[in-house]
Amino acid sequence: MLAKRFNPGSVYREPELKGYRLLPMRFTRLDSSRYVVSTIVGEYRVVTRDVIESLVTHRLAPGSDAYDDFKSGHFIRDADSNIAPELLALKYRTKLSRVSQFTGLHMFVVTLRCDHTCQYCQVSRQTKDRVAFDMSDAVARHAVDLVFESPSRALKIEFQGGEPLLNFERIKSIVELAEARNRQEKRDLQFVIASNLSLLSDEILEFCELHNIYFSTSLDGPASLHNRNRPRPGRNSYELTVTGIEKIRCHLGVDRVSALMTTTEASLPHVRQIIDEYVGQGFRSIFLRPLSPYGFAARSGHFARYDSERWLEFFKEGLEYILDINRKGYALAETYSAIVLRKMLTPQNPGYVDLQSPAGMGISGVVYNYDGDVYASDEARMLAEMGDKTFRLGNVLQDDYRAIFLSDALLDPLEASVAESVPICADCAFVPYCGADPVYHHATQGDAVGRRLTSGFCHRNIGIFRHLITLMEDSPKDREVLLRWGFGSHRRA
Amino acid sequence: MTDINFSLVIDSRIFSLEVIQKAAYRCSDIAVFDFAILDSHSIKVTATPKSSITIELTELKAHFNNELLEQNLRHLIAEETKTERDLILAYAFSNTKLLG
Repeated sequence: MLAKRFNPGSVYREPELKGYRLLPMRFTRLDSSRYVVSTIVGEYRVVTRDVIESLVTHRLAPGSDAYDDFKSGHFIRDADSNIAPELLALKYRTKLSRVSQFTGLHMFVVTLRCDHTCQYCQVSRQTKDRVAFDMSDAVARHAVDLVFESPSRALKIEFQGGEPLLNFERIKSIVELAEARNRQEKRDLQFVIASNLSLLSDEILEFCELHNIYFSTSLDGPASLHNRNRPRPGRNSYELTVTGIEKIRCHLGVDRVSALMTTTEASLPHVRQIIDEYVGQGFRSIFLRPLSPYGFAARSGHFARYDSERWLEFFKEGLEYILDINRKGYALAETYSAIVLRKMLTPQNPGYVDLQSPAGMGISGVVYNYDGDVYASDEARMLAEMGDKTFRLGNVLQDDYRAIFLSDALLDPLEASVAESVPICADCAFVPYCGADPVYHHATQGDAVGRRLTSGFCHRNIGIFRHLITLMEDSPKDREVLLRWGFGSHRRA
Repeated sequence: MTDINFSLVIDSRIFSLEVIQKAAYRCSDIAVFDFAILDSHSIKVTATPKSSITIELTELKAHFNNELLEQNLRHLIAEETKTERDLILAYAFSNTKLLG
């Protein structure tokens, strides 16, 4: 009876006997004995080179576990699985959907003035000259017009500085202008103030509550490290920041303030204390960021003081500590790992500017400087402060949307640096998780495409990808936590 | 006298010039490469370690040979999947305004 109702399993294996075709894939060494092989959309397997050779030379045995695994992951297709290219295309399109959305993040530098003298800061000015370094009403109005020229459904306006709260009147006028405009546009409009919180007042909090404004602040670690990195009169930056975080949480809500840390040479021996500080302040995520090579940071020698290898040690030690904290019951995500894991494990693209190909500059975010100059990214404006205006796209008072976003300063480096066509990247199994960073490579190698064998960006990112995949493969207890980050379930907890 | 470089004569029916050049590029942070076409099937590759790099010639040779094998596998994948790659990209960008 059973035999009549069901075909024997071998019937379903018959198409496999006709052989298989390869689908696009790349492979890269993981360690001394293993390789990562990934599809065009980033699904990966960890195998030995013998297996890759068998796969590529069509010696995989039909019916074997390896055959079924590669078939289900769209590394191969046979007469039974001709839908694979269409499914891959659907995932590929999902990954690239942010490109067609175009610019969602619009950064407004409302002033360069600042009350801090951070050693790594590229742009701030110690001055009371409001005319010279504050954004004018005319610049703000033209910039808001450009924001709404973007086709993106979701628009985020982020206020930066200097210390943007030093020009809070301009923030108010831009928020009110954008909201008035949005009553017709009906976009998903969000505001963020990136501030050290030293000037936070009740008046500011009331306005932010009324207009649903978020805060992003800097917290470099415990008081001694934070105050060393971020000097200000009174040497009390840490105390003011922590007090500000508390005020925002009480007044606006716990989720309305996030914090970023910047790594300096002084931070390197203290990753555990930095993480403890974030846990102590009740944060559920920490972003272990590398020091950027731009502006004053490069000029003052801080970038050269430690290389990407040393930073990777810092990162790995920190990640191990964070995973341990998670195992003990406190949910804390490392933001960069979560972004990478989401790219590895899902068809989604988290939209992080530095890990985009085509590059995120201009496409994901754009900067309107206090003087009306438009830059392709925050790093591009930092470079401009060093006198290199390669990535200046135009000026809001003189150029329209088309002139700015179709400028050679944007399109040439975007086109040249698409990672999938860059030597070495084109063959790299990690390219679906990585990105192009033309501004970084221009700043460090004098060429927007850059040379990957000596690129700090490449070395650092490949080190992170290898480390995360190794943990996923070799450490079941870590894999459990990393899967939560990748699928975003830590945010819903 | 110690050799300062090594030379290999490679049969281009086994490894194409493109594969050889890609393998050399992958090693270009540690060595300088020269190429010469000897006849229709023979390509001579000479590798000289960079002065700033300390590496035994045997180690460099093993490294380069390993790269040749890997680049050859990549070449086989690229050749066989060209149609699929074009097909996937065409599907991916259909129904968008990006294809005219």
